[in-house]
Amino acid sequence: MLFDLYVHTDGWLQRLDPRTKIALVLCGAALFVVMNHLLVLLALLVLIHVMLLSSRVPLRQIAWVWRQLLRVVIIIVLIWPFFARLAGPEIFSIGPFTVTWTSVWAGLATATRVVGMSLLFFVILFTTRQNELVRGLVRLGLPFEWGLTLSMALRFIPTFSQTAAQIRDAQAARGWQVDRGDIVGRLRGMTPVLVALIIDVLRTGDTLGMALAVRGVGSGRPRTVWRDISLRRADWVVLALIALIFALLIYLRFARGFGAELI
Amino acid sequence: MSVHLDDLHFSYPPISAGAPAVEVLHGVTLDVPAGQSLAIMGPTSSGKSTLALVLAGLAPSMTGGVLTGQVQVNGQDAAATPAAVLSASLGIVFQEPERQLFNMTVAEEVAFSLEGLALPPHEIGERVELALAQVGLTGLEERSPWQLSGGQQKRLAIATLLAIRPPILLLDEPMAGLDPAARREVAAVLADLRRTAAATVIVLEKDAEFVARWAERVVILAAGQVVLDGTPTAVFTEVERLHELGVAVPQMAELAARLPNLVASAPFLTARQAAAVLVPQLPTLAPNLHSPLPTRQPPVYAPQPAIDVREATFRYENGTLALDRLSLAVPAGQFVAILGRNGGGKSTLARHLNGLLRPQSGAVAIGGKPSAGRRVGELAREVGYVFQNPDRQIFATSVREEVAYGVRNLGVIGQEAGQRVDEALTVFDLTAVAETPPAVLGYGLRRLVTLASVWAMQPPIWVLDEPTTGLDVRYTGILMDRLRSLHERGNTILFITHDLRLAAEFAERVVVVDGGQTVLDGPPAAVLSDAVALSSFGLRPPPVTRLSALLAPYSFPHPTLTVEEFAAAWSSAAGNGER
Repeated sequence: MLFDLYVHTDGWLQRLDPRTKIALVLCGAALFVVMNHLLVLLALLVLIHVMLLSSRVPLRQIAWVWRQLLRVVIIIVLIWPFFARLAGPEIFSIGPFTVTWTSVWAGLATATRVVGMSLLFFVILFTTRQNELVRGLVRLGLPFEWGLTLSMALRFIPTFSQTAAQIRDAQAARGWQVDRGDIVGRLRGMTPVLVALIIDVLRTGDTLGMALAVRGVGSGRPRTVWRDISLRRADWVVLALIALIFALLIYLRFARGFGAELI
Repeated sequence: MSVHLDDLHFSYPPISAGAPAVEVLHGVTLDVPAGQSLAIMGPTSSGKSTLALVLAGLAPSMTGGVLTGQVQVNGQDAAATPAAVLSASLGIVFQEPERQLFNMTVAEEVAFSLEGLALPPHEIGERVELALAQVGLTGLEERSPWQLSGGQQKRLAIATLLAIRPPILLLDEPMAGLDPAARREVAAVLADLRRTAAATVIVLEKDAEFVARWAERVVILAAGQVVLDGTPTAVFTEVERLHELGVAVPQMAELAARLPNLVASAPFLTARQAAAVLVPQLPTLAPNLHSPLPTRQPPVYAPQPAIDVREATFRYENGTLALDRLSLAVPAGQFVAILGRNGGGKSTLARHLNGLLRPQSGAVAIGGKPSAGRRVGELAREVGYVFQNPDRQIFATSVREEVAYGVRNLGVIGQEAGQRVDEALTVFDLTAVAETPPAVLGYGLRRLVTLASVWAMQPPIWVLDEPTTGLDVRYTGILMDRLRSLHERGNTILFITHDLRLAAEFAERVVVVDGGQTVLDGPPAAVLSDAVALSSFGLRPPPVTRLSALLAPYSFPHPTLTVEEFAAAWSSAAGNGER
């Protein structure tokens, strides 16, 4: 299913506590921000792939992310060199645009950042059950009600998308067609689907509120957790490694200028 | 007392400012002793669902409105206790399971209620295991709730409450939307609860056959008041009264009321009980029982089929093979009932008839022309499709607009469009609500609106996907009556249903679809009486047919498909006997 991205294989990332993975992703994202050297960024990108593959996330799954990002990547790589205006060896110039090799590398670096940070996000989604992720966020200080709302939002995305498909079918059976005219016309054409969907969402919300109340939400009593997440030895080892590598790279970056330049 | 209601009145707040409040409960007085298995029945808008919300402490706290009188649930004042607190005393299962299951796995769904009770984790684990075993879901702990079948979802919803172990359980239409096999699964769970009498169980239900078998006590609610209250036998003897109220009656109770010479005999509610009463009376009839049933005249159809599906195969993206070289030819003007388990391919077949789905191999022809290459909007001229859930299509700001929508899409405009809409509104008695937003109407009326909107499009072929789901006797009657008149005018009707009584009464042909193929196909008398074949597809003959099968060894005519047929056979024999 498209919306539940969790990969049901037994890999080392899957076994980690969600909080460990959140730390990993945050540190990784920070490195993508502070590092400028193209080769360093590419190395980080390769590292993410190694992590995903070594944790038995199928290549097909990773390729899916690439396909989603392909258009953005192409646009960045093609357009960036024209607007970056970085000084450097000139390749060619057309009218007001001068394209330099430095600008081309900068475009590649930006694209690498976008793909890398997206993939980091998918590291969590591919290797963490949604409920564990929410539990992790709650343990990190997110209020329980927020966590519950978040997990229910995730839970009902497939339901509502299924409902939307049924509504489209029902309107099509009455001769509804959306592919007419400009954007305004199309939006207006979507009305029969959107209104029916909104009514369904409201009705579902009503019942859900009641269903939560009769299952004890809002009683004011403290709750227990059945299968709580816990940091195991592997988590501490990984956290220590993350801290060590992150501290080292940040030290090198700011004290020694490692990876500060684009090339 | 588990539940004590004294002169309970409840009104919803007015729909718009200035409008009068809507009183739905007018003085309900009811005592339910601990451990009782009680069924509450009543037509649409009888106040059943509101009563359920009041008992669960959800009305008026979450719905708004005004409550007077007393409501005591397990000794607590339900009107003054927060629902979350009251939930430890009374657990409620709502009608639509997909709106009350919100966890990622089956086990966590059950555990969620227990986490709220602040139980220690090891006890939660034990209770989850036990509750899932009680409803027969052991082994599915790590599945996603929304990947379960309808019957499994219902049972899971019951398990989430059983785990809390409240002294009172309340179920709002536990059988709604389930196929016959799933109904039996849920009925088995409820029968278990009744046997152990561990809790007071209150069920709001339309399925009279289930109520007759399960309940200790039946309460009939109509227009916000208790109008009948007693054992199933006592209540279901009042057949005429129940018909008037629009409450379903077990087929055998209906039959008992139709057999004139049974006044003094013991009442019966099931085919087996009926046979026990009727068999001793058969010898006096025996000499007259040789005349066979008048056979239904097989109608003559045009040679050109209206629907012609040839070797259609369809596989969904997730790999499910929904149609497996299915073939079905329906002559123009035939009334066909399609039966079969959920997931067997009925709806997939129906969706091929108006082009919502296209066969991956094989062909579909509608009105003699292949449907390949014709758009859904084009096929809508010929195939009117009524979806299972009316709310999938309702969007307009008035009933009139909703009914006009399809007509307009066909390109019909001006006076003719107006005439068609007016006619459709009249046919379905919707003229009075023509300017009301359809979304605020009751469920039965919303269903009629969707029928009217198809009616106005005047398609020669009607495909209806479980259109009677959730309807009470009265609305089902209106729906079937209109379908009958469409059929009389020569329209082709394809009617998907789980209700074998309706199939027996209205269809000229019965087709059972299972595993993506047509597995049984023939006249109702042949298909609906074949108990052995039906049972392999999760179906059973209607009660009156089971009864005639039980009486067949005594040379009673078999099969009888309807109460009328049985009563006619019985009284013609009895009438002759007296002479």
